[in-house]
Amino acid sequence: MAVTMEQVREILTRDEPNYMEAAQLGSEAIPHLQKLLAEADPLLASKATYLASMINSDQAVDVVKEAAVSEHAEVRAAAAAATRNLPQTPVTDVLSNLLDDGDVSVRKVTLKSISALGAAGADLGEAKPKAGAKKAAVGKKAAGKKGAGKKGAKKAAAAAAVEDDTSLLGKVRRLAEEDADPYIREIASDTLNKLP
Amino acid sequence: MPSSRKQSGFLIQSTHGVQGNFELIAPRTAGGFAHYWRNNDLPSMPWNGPFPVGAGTLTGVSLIQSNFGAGNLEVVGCQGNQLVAYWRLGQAPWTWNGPFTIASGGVVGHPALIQSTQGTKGNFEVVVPRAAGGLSHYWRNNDHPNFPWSSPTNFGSGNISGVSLIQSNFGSGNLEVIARQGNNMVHYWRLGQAPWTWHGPFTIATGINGTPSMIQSKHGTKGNFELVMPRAGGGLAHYWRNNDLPNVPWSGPTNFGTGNISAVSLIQSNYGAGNLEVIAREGNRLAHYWRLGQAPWTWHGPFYIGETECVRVHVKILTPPNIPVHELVASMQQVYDTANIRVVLASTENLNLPALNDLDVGGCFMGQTTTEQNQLFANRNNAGPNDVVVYFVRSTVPPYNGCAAHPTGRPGAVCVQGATRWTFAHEIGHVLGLAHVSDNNRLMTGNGTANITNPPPDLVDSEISTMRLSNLTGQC
Repeated sequence: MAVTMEQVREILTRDEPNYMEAAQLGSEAIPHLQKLLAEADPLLASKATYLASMINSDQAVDVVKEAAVSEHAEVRAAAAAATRNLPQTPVTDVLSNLLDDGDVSVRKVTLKSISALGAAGADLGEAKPKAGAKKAAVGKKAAGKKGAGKKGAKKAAAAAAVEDDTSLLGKVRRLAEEDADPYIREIASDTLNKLP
Repeated sequence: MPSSRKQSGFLIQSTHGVQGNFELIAPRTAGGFAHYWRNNDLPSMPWNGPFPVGAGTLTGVSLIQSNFGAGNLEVVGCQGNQLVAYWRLGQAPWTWNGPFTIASGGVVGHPALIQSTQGTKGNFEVVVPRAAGGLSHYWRNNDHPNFPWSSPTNFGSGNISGVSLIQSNFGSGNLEVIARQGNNMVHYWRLGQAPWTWHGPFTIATGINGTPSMIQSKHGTKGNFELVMPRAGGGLAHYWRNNDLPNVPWSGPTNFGTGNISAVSLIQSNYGAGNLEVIAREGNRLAHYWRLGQAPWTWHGPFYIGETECVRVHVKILTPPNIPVHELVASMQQVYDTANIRVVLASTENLNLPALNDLDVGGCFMGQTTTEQNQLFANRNNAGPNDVVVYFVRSTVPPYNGCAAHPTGRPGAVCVQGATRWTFAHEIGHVLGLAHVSDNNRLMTGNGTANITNPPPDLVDSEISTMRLSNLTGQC
C-alpha cells in the first residue's frame, strides 16, 4: 500500500516522533518528506530531514543535501545530524560546507556527526588501513566482523571517507585551533581524537 | 424570578461578574461560616477565600442571592437549636450582617432557604429539621416593611438531619422537599396555593448518608429534577426524575466521587449546555465535581477548594518560542486548573549558550541524558530543588517538539521554538510523572499535541492523582 502524505504528517506532527518506527515507511515516504522540507514550517522540515536519513534510500541524500542549505538554521542542524544516519558513502561535501556555517550550533552538530562517523568507523574497522584507496577493503573487513552487516560496512566506509577527506579534516583542525567559540574548539579537538 | 433563587444549597452562581461567579459557604470549625467565591471571568477560574463570617457553631447553612438591592446574599443556618440568618449587600462594601434569630430553638441540622414566587417581592421560605422529629416550614413576608417571619408549620416525622428545598414549576409553584430520614431519602411536596397541605414522605432511595441537594434542571421539556446525595458507602449518587413522563419516574443512581461526604450542594451553571456543578463537604474539605450538560455525562472531580497545589516553573530562553511564554503558561494553566494545580511562572531568564541551541537529547529517554543536556540543565539560577525548569531552544537533535528527560535532581524539560501551544504543558506533564496516551482529547497524547481535537485538552483522574502526588507539586 502506497505511503500517503497524511501518514507521514501524522507521524511527524507528534511531539516526540519515533524515528526508528517511522523509518519503516520506507522509500515511498521520501517524496512526501521532500515536500515537507519545502514547506514553511522549520520544525516539520527538520523532522522530515531527519526521518529521510533514517530510511535506507539513495534519495535520502538529496533530502539531506537540500536541508543543508536551508535558510533556517535548525533545518541545517537537522541536516548535519542526519548525515550520521545516511547508510551510504558520507556526504563529506555537505559536512564540509556545514563546518563553514555561520551558526555556532550548526557547526557543533556537524562536528558531532563527524565524530560519530569516526567513532563508528573505529568500532567497525579498528584495523582499517589508512589509505583511501583501501576503502573497499575496509568495508569488506568491517562487514566481516561479528554483528556488522551491509550497513556496518557502509558506516566503516563512511568513516574512511571522512578520514580520507583531507579538506574536511583540515577544517576540523582549524576549528579546533581558531573557532571563536571555546566550546566549538573543544568539540573539534575531541572530534580529531575520535577519528581513527 | 431566576430559578437559582428557587433552589436551596450552599453553592450558587451569582450575578457578580460577566459569566457569573460561584459563591460558596460552609460552616467553620472555628465558628461561623466561611465564604468562598470563584472568579469565573478569569481563565484560571480561581477560588477566593475563605472569608470568615459570624461566630458560633453552625451545623448547616443555606445560601441564595435574593432580589434585594443589587442582589444581596442571604444565609440561614442552624446554630445549636436556633435558626439564624445573615445577609450581605450585593455591592461594596460587601459587609456581612447578622446573625438574626428566626427561631430560638427546636431546630437542628441542615436548613434549606429559597426565595419563592409567593407575594410580590417573593417570600423567603425555609424548611429545617426539627429536633423533635420531622420538619418545620417558616416563611418571611417580603412585602411587609418589617419582613416578619411566620411561625413554623410542622410536617413529616422521624429523625431528619438534612433537607433540600425547591419551588418547582408544577402547579402554581409547588414546594418540593428532599430530606434524609435515617438512611432513606424521602420526598415531600406542597401545592403552591391553598390549602398548602404537605404530602409525603415518598421514599426515593436508601443507603443514604448526609444532606442531599435537588434542583429542577433545564433537561427535558418540563425540566427534570436532578438529585445528588451522599452515599452511606462513600461518594455520591445522582438520580434524576423525568418530569416529561406522566408517572414522573426516578432514574439512577449514577455513583461518583469518593470519601465520607456529609452534605452536598448542586447547581446547574451556565457553562456549556448547563453543566451540573456539585460541592461536597468531605470532613473539613470542600470538593468540587462537575458534569457536562450533555453526553457523555461524565462526572469530573474531586477538585478540592482551598487546597490548590502549585508547580513552580522557571523558564530559561536560548531561543524564544514562537508562541510567547505568557501564552504557553496560560494554556498550561487552563489544563492544570482541572487538577487544582496552579502554575507559577517563578522566573524567566535569557541564556547565552549558542552552542546548545540545537540540543543533543539522544533518544530522549527518562533517566538517560546526554552531555549537552547535563550542561544545559546545570543552569538552574533561582530554581529550588523541586522547581521545574523549562529551557527553550531552537531545536533538538533528533528533532522533537520537546523532551522531558532530565538529569537526576534537576527536574526540567526542553521545548523547541516551534513547539505547539500545548507542548509546554505536555512536557511538564512528563516531568510530573505522566506517560503518553493514545487519545487526542488528552494533554498527554502521544499522537502530537498539534492534533488535540478538543482544546483545552483533558487530564483524567489518575493523571491528576499522579501530578498531585509528585514531589514537584506542593502547597502554594
